[in-house]
Amino acid sequence: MTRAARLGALIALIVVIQVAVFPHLRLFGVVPDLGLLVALAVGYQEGPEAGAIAGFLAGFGFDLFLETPFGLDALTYAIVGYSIGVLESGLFRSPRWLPSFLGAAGGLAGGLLFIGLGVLVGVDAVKGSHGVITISYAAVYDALLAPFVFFLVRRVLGTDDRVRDAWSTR
Amino acid sequence: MLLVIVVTCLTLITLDSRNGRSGPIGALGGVAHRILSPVQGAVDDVTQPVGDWWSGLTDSGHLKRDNRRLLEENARLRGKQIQADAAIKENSELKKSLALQNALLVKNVTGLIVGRDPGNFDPTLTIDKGSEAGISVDMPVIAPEGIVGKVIEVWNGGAKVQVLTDPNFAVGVQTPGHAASPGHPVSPATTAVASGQNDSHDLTVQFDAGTRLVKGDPIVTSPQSTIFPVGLPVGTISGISNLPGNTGVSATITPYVHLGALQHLTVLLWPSGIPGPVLPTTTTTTTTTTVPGGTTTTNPFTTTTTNPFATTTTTVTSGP
Repeated sequence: MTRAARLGALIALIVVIQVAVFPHLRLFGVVPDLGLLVALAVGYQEGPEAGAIAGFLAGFGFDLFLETPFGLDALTYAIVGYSIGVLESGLFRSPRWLPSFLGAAGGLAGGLLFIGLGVLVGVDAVKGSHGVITISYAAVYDALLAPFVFFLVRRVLGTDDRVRDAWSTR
Repeated sequence: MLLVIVVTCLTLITLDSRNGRSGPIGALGGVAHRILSPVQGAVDDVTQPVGDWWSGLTDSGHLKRDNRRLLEENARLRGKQIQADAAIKENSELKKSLALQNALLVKNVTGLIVGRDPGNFDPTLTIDKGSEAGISVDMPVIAPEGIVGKVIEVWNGGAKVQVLTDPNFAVGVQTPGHAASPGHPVSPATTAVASGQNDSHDLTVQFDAGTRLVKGDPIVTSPQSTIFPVGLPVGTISGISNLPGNTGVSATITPYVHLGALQHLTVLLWPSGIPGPVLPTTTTTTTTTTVPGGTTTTNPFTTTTTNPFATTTTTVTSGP
C-alpha cells in the first residue's frame, strides 16, 4: 500500500472516530479537531503542500457530517496544514513537547480562522464570546491528543522520528 | 496547490450557501451518513457507558458534592446491575414515547438517536429513521416532554435534526392568558418568535410591550408557527426583562426537554402549514339535570385520553 493510500485510510478512520466516538468524549463540553491535528502532523512531517492536501481531505470528510457551510472545515484545515509546513522549515530543533504545542497553537489558529471565515459566510453559531471560548477549550483538547496523532501519522507515513532524534542529540 | 484548494473550497462554500444541501453536495452527505449511521449506532452502544464515565470524570467540579450524595444512594442500589438499570430506563422512555404516539392524531415515527453533534458549532441529533419511514425535511420533532427541533436533512435510513437550542432555530410561541388580578387587567395570550442562543441552552423571545409574563408560565407553539402544529409544549418562562425604552418584553424560555438525556425522538409526519390539531384534548363533560320537585342529579361523563399536553373541561347544565 502506498503512503498516499495509507494516509487516505488514516484520514477516513480519523473522520469516523471524530463523528462516531468523540461526541461521547467531550472535555469541557467540546470535541477536539482530529482532522486539524492530522493536517498539522502531515504539514509538519511532509511539508506545506502535503499538509494542505491532507487538511483539505480531512476537512472535506468532516464537512459531510456538519451543517456549517460545506468546505469551511476543508478550507480551514488546508490553510493550517500549509502554514505549519511553511513554519516547520524554519525550525532548528524539535523537542518532545512540540506536538502538544503545535496542537494547541494550531488548534487555536485554526479555530480563529474557522470563526473568521464562519462570520464572513454567515454562520451564527460561531459569533460572540461563546465561539472564542469554545475554540480555546478545543485547543487544549487538541494539545492533549496531538502527540498521539503525530505518532500515528509518523507511523503511517513511515517517516523518521525527527522529534525523538532531535531530542536525543541534545 | 494551496491556491487550487482555496478556490475549490470557496466554490463549495458558495454552492452550499446558494443551493443548500439539495444538490450533489447534499447527495454526497446523504451517502456518507448512510454509510456511517450503522457504525454510529454500533459505536454508540459501546461508547455510551464510556461516555457516561467520562462525563463523571470531567465534571470534577461537581464530583465531590455529588459523590457524597451518591455514596449513600449507591449503598441502597448496589444490588442492581448496570445493565438492568439501563434496560429499565430505556423501557420507561419507550413507554412514554408510546403513550405520546397513542395520543397524537397524526402519523408519527419514533427513532433512536445514533449520533450527536459531531462538531463544536453544530447542535444536531441524528436518528436511525429516514425517508423510508416517510420523514421529510422540516417535519417537527418532539419528545414526551415537548418539542425538540425540526428535521433538516433526510436520507434512506436516517435523518438529522436541528435542535431548538441552535441559534438558527426559530419557532412561533404563545404565552398563556392571565385572568384579571389586583393591579393587573386581563392579559390575553400573546404570540412571538423564540430562537436559540449561542451561549445558552435556553431560548430567547421578545414580546410586545405590555405583555404580562410570570416566571414559570408554560409556553406552547403558536398558530403562526409554520413548522410546528399549534399547542405543542416548548418550555417555561425562566427570565423576564423589559427592553430599553419599554419597547417590549424580553424573556428566556427554558425548554422542557433535556437534550443530553434523550435516547429516542418522535417525528411527526406533519407537512408544514397543514391546519388542524395534532393533539386531542381531554374532554370532561358534566351534565346537571334539575327535575320538577327540586331533585338534582349530576351525571359526570368523562372522556379521558392519554394526551400529556392539553386539557379542556366543558360543563353542560340543563333543566326545565
